[in-house]
Amino acid sequence: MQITNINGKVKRLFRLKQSLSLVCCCLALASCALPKQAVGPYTTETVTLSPAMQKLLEQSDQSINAQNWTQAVAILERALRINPKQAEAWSRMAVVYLGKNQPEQSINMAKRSNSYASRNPTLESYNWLLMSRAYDQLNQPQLAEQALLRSQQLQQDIH
Amino acid sequence: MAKKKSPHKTAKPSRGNQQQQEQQRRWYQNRYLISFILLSLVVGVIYVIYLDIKITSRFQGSLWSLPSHVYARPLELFEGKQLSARAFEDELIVLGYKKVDGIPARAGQYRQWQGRHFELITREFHFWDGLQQGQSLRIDFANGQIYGLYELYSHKALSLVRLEPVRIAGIYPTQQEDRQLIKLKDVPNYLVLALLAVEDRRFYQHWGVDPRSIARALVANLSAGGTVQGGSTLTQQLVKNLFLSSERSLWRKLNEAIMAMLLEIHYDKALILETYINEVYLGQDGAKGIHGFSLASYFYFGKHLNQLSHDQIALLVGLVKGASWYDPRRHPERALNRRNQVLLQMSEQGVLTDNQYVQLKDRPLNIAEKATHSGNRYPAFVDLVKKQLHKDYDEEDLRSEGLRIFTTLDPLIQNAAENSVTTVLPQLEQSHPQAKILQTSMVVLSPENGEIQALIGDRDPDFPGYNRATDAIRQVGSLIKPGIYLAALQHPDRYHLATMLDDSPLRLQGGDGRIWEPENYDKEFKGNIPLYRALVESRNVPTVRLGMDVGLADIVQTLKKLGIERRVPPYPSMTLGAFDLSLIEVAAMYQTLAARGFNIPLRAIREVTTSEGEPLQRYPLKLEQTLDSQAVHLINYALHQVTQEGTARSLKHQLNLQVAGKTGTSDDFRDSWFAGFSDDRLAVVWVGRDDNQSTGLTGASGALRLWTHLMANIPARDLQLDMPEAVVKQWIDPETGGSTDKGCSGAVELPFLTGSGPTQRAECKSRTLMERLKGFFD
Repeated sequence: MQITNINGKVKRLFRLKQSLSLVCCCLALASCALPKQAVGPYTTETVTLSPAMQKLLEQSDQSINAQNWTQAVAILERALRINPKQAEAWSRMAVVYLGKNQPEQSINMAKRSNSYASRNPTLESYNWLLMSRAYDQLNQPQLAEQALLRSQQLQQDIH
Repeated sequence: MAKKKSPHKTAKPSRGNQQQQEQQRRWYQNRYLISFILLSLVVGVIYVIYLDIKITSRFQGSLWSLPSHVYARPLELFEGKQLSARAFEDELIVLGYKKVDGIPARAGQYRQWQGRHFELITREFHFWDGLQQGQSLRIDFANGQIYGLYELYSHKALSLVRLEPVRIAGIYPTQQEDRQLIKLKDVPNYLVLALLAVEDRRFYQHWGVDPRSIARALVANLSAGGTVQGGSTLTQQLVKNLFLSSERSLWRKLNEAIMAMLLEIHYDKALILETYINEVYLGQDGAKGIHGFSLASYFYFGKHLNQLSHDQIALLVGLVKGASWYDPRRHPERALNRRNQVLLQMSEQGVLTDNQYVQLKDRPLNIAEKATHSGNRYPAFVDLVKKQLHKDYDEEDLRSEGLRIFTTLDPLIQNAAENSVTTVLPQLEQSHPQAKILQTSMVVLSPENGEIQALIGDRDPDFPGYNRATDAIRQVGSLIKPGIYLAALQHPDRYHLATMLDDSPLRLQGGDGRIWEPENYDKEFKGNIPLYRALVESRNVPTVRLGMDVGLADIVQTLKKLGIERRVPPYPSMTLGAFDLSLIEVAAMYQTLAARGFNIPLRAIREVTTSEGEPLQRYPLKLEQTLDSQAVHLINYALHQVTQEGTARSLKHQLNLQVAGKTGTSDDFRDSWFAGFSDDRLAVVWVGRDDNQSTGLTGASGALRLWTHLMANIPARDLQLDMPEAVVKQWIDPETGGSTDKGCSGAVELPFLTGSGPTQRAECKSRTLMERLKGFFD
């Protein structure tokens, strides 16, 4: 019984570590891809990633940082085969397509991420921010503004 | 003063003339000879140059037309994956893994104990994203999933491992040659030693032709009174295989010798040996010739060349002499004798010790029962893959460039689908004699990424003929109804799930003056019925009324958003599905529903690489939100109810899985359909007859039975109907469609878009005793 408890604690600590590293990754992504003043703190305390998902998201982050978009898409698709409802993976897809200058796909991926991120307003806010940038690329300033407002509103709600 | 003519002088010139004439004649003769020799030399030199060009041009270009290889998806292993130990072992068997009793020692071996623990060594494989080394693994299963994944020796937990994919088909060159190229550095040294010991002992000493071998063969043949030994070097054999016919003539032998020497001048021994190892003919698989040791290893033993034992290598080397004559499957005794001859020669040459020889010669042949590399499997799926490939690649490139095509096919799901067809279809034929010979098609896919996991195009899943899944266009019937209701629910100001529809006789007059009076399946009318019940019970008349009210143009637009690209005729009868679609088109429509309004093009291919593994092309996941997730959620709620209390309610008791779906039956029971989805799988089934005659089967009595059998035999997760933002639940009275409370008689709870639900209150009657009891048990 004691051992089970200790194992439980170790697992919880491990999960916390995973969550923190995800936070760092997303912050890094945000700081690379988006204007700093527009990005709020990205906390994912509710997210528990399986080791497989953790590994693939880390790999995809490396590819994104190296701007190896094709590789990043392949890794994220692999992640989404394991868990198609992983909002963090869909969100990274949105980042990749923004990097590939395919704003329509980026918007669709961000929307998909939001469809699974209802309990994660921080991620939702981040996705709206991505959509704002994508609408900017599409030269649709009104929609970009709306998306940005939505993102900021979510940020305010969190605080 | 005149000079006297000397008689000598007159005699001498005449002799001299004769000599001169003789000399002239000889000179002319020699001149012709010299000219002839010179001319011959020139022609000879030109011919040699011609042969030289022939050799170098072939070697500089692509030596062979390589078939393209089509692979299934690789099986991903991770903790928590839904996978039974049985299914995992099935995958290993299809991959040609060998079950051993002890700890696996080589790649491609596995051990299993207590039915749920596995130890194995995976093979290395060049995936689209790079080379993956083989790994030693331990995998534990419990409750239909993986609960432990470790490195075999260190016991270090592994997060994610992928097995090499099953090769499911090849797209072959028109000359029907199949081969897998292997680099000399990857060829087991033992094979090289055995080959040289038997075929060309002085390979590293001669210049393409070996007079000593020829002399030795001559002596042997003369003393035997026939041909018992060949004097050809490996280089000569290679030249013969690549450039010449097998005609037995002096001219061919001369050409062979010249070309062999030219080959040796231009290229080093390593390249010649590597080319020989990849070229040599080693067997026949139906119409396809098996070339090269690498492919032959899979063909005869089901494993990589590096995994072969010495006696198995000896057998392959023995086949060089005559692959048909010594075919180990057709003539095992001959093959055994030949293998032992090779082992003896290896022993004589010092490649084997005497002890080894004695041990090896007593071993059985150990040939794999079935050629693991034999013919194409899953013809309907491969047909779809080819159709998609032809959009990007020429037929010739597909047949000759050795492309490696990584597809989405899941052999475990495909095998389950095939099993459902071969099990259930005969039962249907027996229970419905008027159905006679039924045909079927089926597709299974992942609704979240559009990847097609299984496809069946014929009642005989191995039949490579007409592909009904992609090519048969059949009337869809009620399968289309979710599209009609969705078009309505996209107007929340006008419709919600509790909107009362009129189910009473209806007469419609077409533009041509013809009258159409749609009927319900039960030939009855229910008066007023809530919208969701009309869909759940698949009522025709209220559906037509609803469609006409929404507008046919609006419906056509919604069907397009659902992914139907084919032109749908805007007639009233289209609201009942009186138009034709293919199975794949129906699957595309239901995919958009299952993915909550995100349309994702269906895919059969993930990636394509060159024969060397260099990435060529990806077919990435793309999606578009074409429909509001709120409206789709309402439809999916109703489709779930179809499986609980509607036309597919048998699922409630026959399948331990929450799903949503819709039956479809066309006029006169010609087509029986069912399309449905769980959280992670979508499957569509069609059953009918090729002559388009009545089968007597409804969607529920035909296709649904196949669908149920399939879903009961594949891993799938319960449907999750998570309510999207701006959707709330409200209790209503189904009799009036008015708002009511939980405790009222007949009250049902339905989802509504926020603010769109019924506002009018219905009278609250007390629940009956039966309702209370039912509520208690629910």
